[in-house]
Parts: sequence; C-alpha cells; structure tokens
Amino acid sequence: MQKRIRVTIGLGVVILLLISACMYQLREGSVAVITRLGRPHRTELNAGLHLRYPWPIENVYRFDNRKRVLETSFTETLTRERKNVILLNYAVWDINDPLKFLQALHGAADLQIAEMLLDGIITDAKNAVMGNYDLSALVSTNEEDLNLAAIEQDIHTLVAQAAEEQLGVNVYEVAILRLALPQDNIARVFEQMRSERGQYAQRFRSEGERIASDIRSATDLEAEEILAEAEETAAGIRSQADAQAASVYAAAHSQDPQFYRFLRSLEALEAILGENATLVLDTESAPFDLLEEE
Amino acid sequence: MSDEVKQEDKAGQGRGPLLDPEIFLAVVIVFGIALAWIGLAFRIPSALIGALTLGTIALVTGDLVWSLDFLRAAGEAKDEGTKKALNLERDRFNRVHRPLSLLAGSLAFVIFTGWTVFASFAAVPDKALWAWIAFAANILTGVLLWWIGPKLSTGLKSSGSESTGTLTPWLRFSAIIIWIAAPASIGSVYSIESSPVGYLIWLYRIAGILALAFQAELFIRASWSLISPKAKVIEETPLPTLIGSISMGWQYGIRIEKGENRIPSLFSDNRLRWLTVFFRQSLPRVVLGLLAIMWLATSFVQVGVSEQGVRERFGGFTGEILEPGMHVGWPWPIDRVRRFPSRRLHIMQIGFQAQEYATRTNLIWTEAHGIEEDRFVTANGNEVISFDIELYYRISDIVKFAYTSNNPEALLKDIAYKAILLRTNATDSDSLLSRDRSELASGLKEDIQRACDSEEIGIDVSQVAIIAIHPPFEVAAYYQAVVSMQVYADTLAIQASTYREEIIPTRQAEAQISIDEASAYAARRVAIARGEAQGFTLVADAARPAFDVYSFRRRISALETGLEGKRLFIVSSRFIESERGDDRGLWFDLR
Repeated sequence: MQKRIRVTIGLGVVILLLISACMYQLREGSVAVITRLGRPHRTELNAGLHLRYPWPIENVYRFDNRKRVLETSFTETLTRERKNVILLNYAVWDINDPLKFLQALHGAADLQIAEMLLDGIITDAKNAVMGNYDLSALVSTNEEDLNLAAIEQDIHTLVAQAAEEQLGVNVYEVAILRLALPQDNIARVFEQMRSERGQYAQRFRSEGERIASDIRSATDLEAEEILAEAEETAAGIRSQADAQAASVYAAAHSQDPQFYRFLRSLEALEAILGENATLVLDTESAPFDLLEEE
Repeated sequence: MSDEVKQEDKAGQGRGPLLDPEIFLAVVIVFGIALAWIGLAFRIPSALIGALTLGTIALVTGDLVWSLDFLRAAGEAKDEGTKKALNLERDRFNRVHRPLSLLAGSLAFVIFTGWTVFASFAAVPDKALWAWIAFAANILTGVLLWWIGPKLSTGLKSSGSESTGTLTPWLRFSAIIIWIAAPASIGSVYSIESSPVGYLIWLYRIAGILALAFQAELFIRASWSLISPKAKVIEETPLPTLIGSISMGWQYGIRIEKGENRIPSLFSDNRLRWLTVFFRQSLPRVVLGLLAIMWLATSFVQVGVSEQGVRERFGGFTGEILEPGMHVGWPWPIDRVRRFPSRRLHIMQIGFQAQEYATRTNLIWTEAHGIEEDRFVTANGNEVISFDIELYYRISDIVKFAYTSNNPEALLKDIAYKAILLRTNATDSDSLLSRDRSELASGLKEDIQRACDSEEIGIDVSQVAIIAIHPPFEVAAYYQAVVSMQVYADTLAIQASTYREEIIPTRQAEAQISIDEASAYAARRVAIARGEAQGFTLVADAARPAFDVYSFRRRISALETGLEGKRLFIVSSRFIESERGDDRGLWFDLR
C-alpha cells in the first residue's frame, strides 16, 4: 500500500515535470524567440502561457521588450570649430525584431551586451554629427545660434537606422542629457569666472570709493565756503566799525583841529620815544631854556 | 538492546547519581546556545543576553545540583563499593569532565556568539566582508575542533587520565554547532531582498528552532527527574547518542548506551520517543503538508496601504488592478501579483546626490555638499552652474508604469536632466541666479510632465523643488566677493556721509564764531571811538579858555614822561648859532 502510494506520487511528480517542461510563460512586456534544435523557429509576442517542446528540442529566449532607457558614457568630441565638448546622451529603445536581436547577440540574451553595442553606435553618430556644428549650437545666449533639436534629430536618424539594421531594435529618441567640458577647460572656465567676478567686485569697489570721494570733496568745499563767507562778513563788520569810529573821531576832532593836532602830537611823541632813544635838544625850548643864563 | 545493557538496566532501577555532569552541562549549555540562536536568527539582541545569562545560571545550578545529589547519594550508599564508585566519579568529574565540559561548551558558545555578534552588530565599514570572514573562521574552527578531539583524547589517555571518552564527542559536538551556526554570519548581514545568500538565515533559524525543541525536551526531562521518585526508563535521546556519550547509569531517567565515539543513526532505533518518534514517522507527511500550505499561501496577496497591484496570469496582464487589502487568486505559477507603491510620494534628486536623505547637509555655496554634484554649461560654454533639484512624483498609471518601460524612473531622471539642459544652455549664470525661482520651477515641472506624458511612463510630477542654484563651489567665493564689494561700496558712502555730518556743522560753528568776534570788535571799536571823541570834546572845551597854559603844561608833562631815562644831549642855542656858517656841521658820537 505504502509502495503504491509512493509510486503514484512519484509518477505524479514526473508528469508535472513533463507538463511544465512543455510550457513556458511569457510575461507582459516580453517577447520570446523559440529555436528548435538551434534553428530559429518562431517569435512569440503575446504574453501568457504557451506550448513548446521540452529542452533540448526547443529553447526559449526571452527578452524584456518594454522601452528601455540607455545612458551612454561621457564622450569627448570636437565641434566644427575644433572645440572640445563632452556629451552624455540617453536613448529610448526597444526590440523591434527579436530574431535579429538574438542573432546579433550571438545567441546570448543579454540586454547589457545590446546596450553596449548601442552605446557604440550612438557614440559614433555623436562624433559624426558634432563635426558639423559649432559649440554655439549646443550652448549660446543667442537663441538663434542654438540648434540642439537639429543635432539630436541628426544623431537619432543615424542611430535609428544603424540600430535597426544591426541589432533589430527601435530607437525612439536620442537626446543630449548633459553637456560638460573637459577637465582642463573647466579649470580655465573657473579662472574666467573668477576673473569676471573679480572685475565686478572691483567695479563696485571703485564706484564706492568714487562716491565717497565726491562726498568728501563736496564737504570740504562747502566747509571752506562757509568759512570764507563768514570771514567776509566779519571783515565787513570790522570795516564798518572802523569807519563808524573814524567818523566819530572826525566829528569830534573837526570841532577843534588845532587842539586835536596838539594832543595827537603829544601822544605820538610819548609813543615814539623808546627806551634806547637819544635826544639832542637845544636850549631854546622849555624847560631847557632855564639852562641859559639870562 | 544488548544483554549487558539489559542487566545494567535491571541493576539500575534504583537511583544512582542522579545527574551525569557532562550530560546535564551539555543540556543547559546547548539550551542556552539554542536560545541565542533564536535571538540572533530573529535579530533579538536581548535574547542573546538572556541566553548568556541563562546558560551561566544553568551551569552554576547544574554544578550545585550535582553536588547536592552526590552528597545525597553518598549518604545513602550502604556498601564500600558504591561509595568508592561515587568518589571515583566525583574525582573524575572534578579533574576531567568539569573543566573539559566547561571548556568545550564555552569554547563553542564563545566562538559562535563572538563571531556572529561581531559580524552582525560591529560597526565595520564592510559588514559583508566581515561576515564572510566570520563564516570562514567558523568553518575552520569547526574543522579544528573535529580534528583535535581524537588527538586530545589519545594524549590524555597516554598521560593516565581515567576517562576521556566524552572529550572527542564534546569537541565534535561543538564543531557541529559551529558549522550549523556559520551561515548565521552570512544570513545576518545580507537581507533576502539584497541577495539570495540572505536565505541562509533560514537554515540558521530552522536549526535553532529544532535545537531548541530538542533541548527543551531534554531540559524538561532533566527538571522532571529531579522531583520524580522513579523516572520512566527512556533508552536514548538524540543528542547524547549523537555525540556518542559513554556515561553510565541512569541520568534523570535516561539510559545511555555504552560506546565511545559512536554516532548511531537517529532514525534506525525504535526506542526513540517524543520529538524523534514524531519526526521519524510523520516527517514526509509534515514536509508535504508544509509545502502544500506554502504553495496555497501564494494564492493570497496583501496589497499595502500605499500600493496597487497588477495581476498577471501565466505572465500576461489580466487587466485587473488591485487596490489595498487582501486578495485571493490562483497560486503560483498561475497567478502573480506585482505591487507598486503608486500612492507613495517619491523623491528624486536631480543635479546632486546627497549622502543620505535623512541626514541633509548644509547647502553652502563654498562647501561641497553631497556625494556628487553635476554642473551645467552655460553662457556660450564660458560658465558652469550647479542645479540642486528635488523632484516629487507619484505613479499615476500603474499599468503604464509597469509595462511601458523597464525602468521608468531612470527615464524620468533623464527627462529631468534634459529639461534643465534646455533651461541652461540659452542663458548665462547671472540670469539664472537672479531669475524668479518659482517661475523656473513651474516651467521645469511643465516640461518634465509633458515629456513623461509623451513617453507614457505613467508618472505624475507633483512638484519640482529648486533646492539651490549656485556657481560651482570652486568659484563661489568670488561670487560672494562681489556682494561683499557692494556692501563695501555702501560702507564707503556711509563713511563719507558721516565725514560730511561731522565737518559741516563744525565749520558753520567756526564761521559763526568769526562773525561774532567781528561784531564784538565792531561794538568795542565804536564804543571806544565815541568815548574818546567825547573825552576830546570835553578836554577841548575845558582847555580852550586858557589854552596856552594847558598846552605848556601838557608839553612839559610829555617831556617828563618821554625823556625819563633817555640819553639827552642839550646843545646851547648860542653854540649852534656860532657854528652855523661852518660847513663841517655838528657831529655827535652816540657810541
């Protein structure tokens, strides 16, 4: 009894294994190429459960056929004007002809190998196209010079054709993802940016110093004008005072000019005679006339 | 059962030393190890500490119980032979078994625990590397213990040790423990999601559960036999026979077969009980049942609160979208549900890669922040600028997200970079730095969403957050210097204004002083003139009636004042008159 059960179970397992070997699942978004004894037999595009002969009669190669995005490597290339530029692209692609795709990969269903091949195709197209454009077509403050869309279109045209012929893939889009400059150029760009900023900084500094100087100069001028004006006023006041005093004196002295001359002469005499003065007088004047005998 | 064993069976119906020391020690140590396994297998550090404590307590308890039991047995011994045997056993225990048991068990425990804990919890730069080193060390240690056992036994025997039969099994038992625990080093580091190697953790867990079950049985038996006056005869238990213990007599109701280094088959002996009997008879059915349950369990799928699921039947999309909750379908491989976090708000960093989202760095222009920062060429290729942007998005259409592209998020990232490129290649850095950020962000959002819709990747961009737009940190200081100079220029103007505020009032004050001084002079001058004029008038009026007298008096007074102290030469007028006709003149020597 036990042996019968064991045999039944064993047979059941074998049958299950056989059934599973004669079927395969194809997931949504995938395609498959079925080879029979090594020769491509058919392509399956619909998802679900499908029948097949078991290995080694038939072999199923599955590919994820959803859109894939490939980021290429950074590639340094020359523009038409011999300027170096580094470009990073991305491409959106999927498998158009699964059989051709499988054959291109030498029977290895490795999408990474496919992407490596596609990367090479894109790089080649990139180099070819960029030789027809200047750097200003990629980056320019003058929008009329920019021609990014045309560059991408040219690259896409070359890539799509080559990819379809060589790999059996659809390339929907090839776009420029990043634009960079070589390391040496970057260093120079930094230097230029520093110089430019230094120029702006110096400009602000000079402008500030000029404005400050103007303010100081105007201040000094105004100060001098204030002082000059004040001095002029003061001089006028003094002059007026002197004139007024002179008129007072004149009014008084004109009443008795002779007496004024006399008093003034005496004052002058007292002021003139200094400590070291030597006088020679005769005896005709008083009080020295007393020295003469009568 | 052999005759010899049967005879001993009858003879041993009473109670000898209740506990064989190494067996009990093996039980408690391995029980502790099993608990440690469970703790580490399920990553419960406290269980490890608990297992260590339990093992230590059990060791001390076992030794104490053995000692008490020995004293009891020695007290009950009637004949000299039994007493001698007890003493021999006590000596053997003290000299050989206790230290070797402790050594072997402790060695296994320490090596296993130490390496595994180190690999799991140590803060090492590359945990995976250390885990593999721990794994290799565990394997090599087990090989060493397995190999060294017989060598030590032979060595001890030749040196006259009475019995070393349990040493080899102990060491090999330790080796088995270490080999089973070796995968724990790996399984505790890798997660199942990151690598299939992570499944090794289940080997560890299953072994731990089984070991715990076996040891729990032994522990229960050992504890029960302490209080049971006459324990039921049980011929064998799996672990002691596995290690080929040669202990004699009754150990807590368990009879151990004689044998040295013998490892009998676990499943060939009908005298097994409890767990071993159960496993032996029902294992295939249990395994099949478990497998069937596991297979049927694949019919159930739980979709999380922030998720949605798509059901695939034989790989093809059925059209059914599953909302959060429990769903039932056909088991694997018929049905399969792919879940996506469609309601979760995702964040993608564009233009920079921070070290960890949870630990944001300060975004200072002059300091490099994050692991990488991308630069965008601008201003005709003469400038570069950095954009730090965070993109917030959700999955809007789960079917498109799942089946249009194999990596829609990678495509989204490329679309975002392209959008930034288109905004930077037609302008210069000054314009970018000074333009309205919210307008830029909304423009980027529209561009990215448009491209996503065109590619039909099923993503909805919620927001574009511009974290920073700045020049590369290599030149940022120079940008900051421009601002500094602007501030400096303002400062100079303010200083000049301050100078003006200081000078003008001072000069005005000086001017006023000058005018006031002049006014004072004028007043004084006029006053003096008036005073003197008045004085003159008065004097003139007074002197006029006797002018001659007044004039003579004034003249003499003037001479008195003026000539005082002066040198005088008074010449007679007659002498001058007499010399008038002489051309020589009159000379005075004033030296």
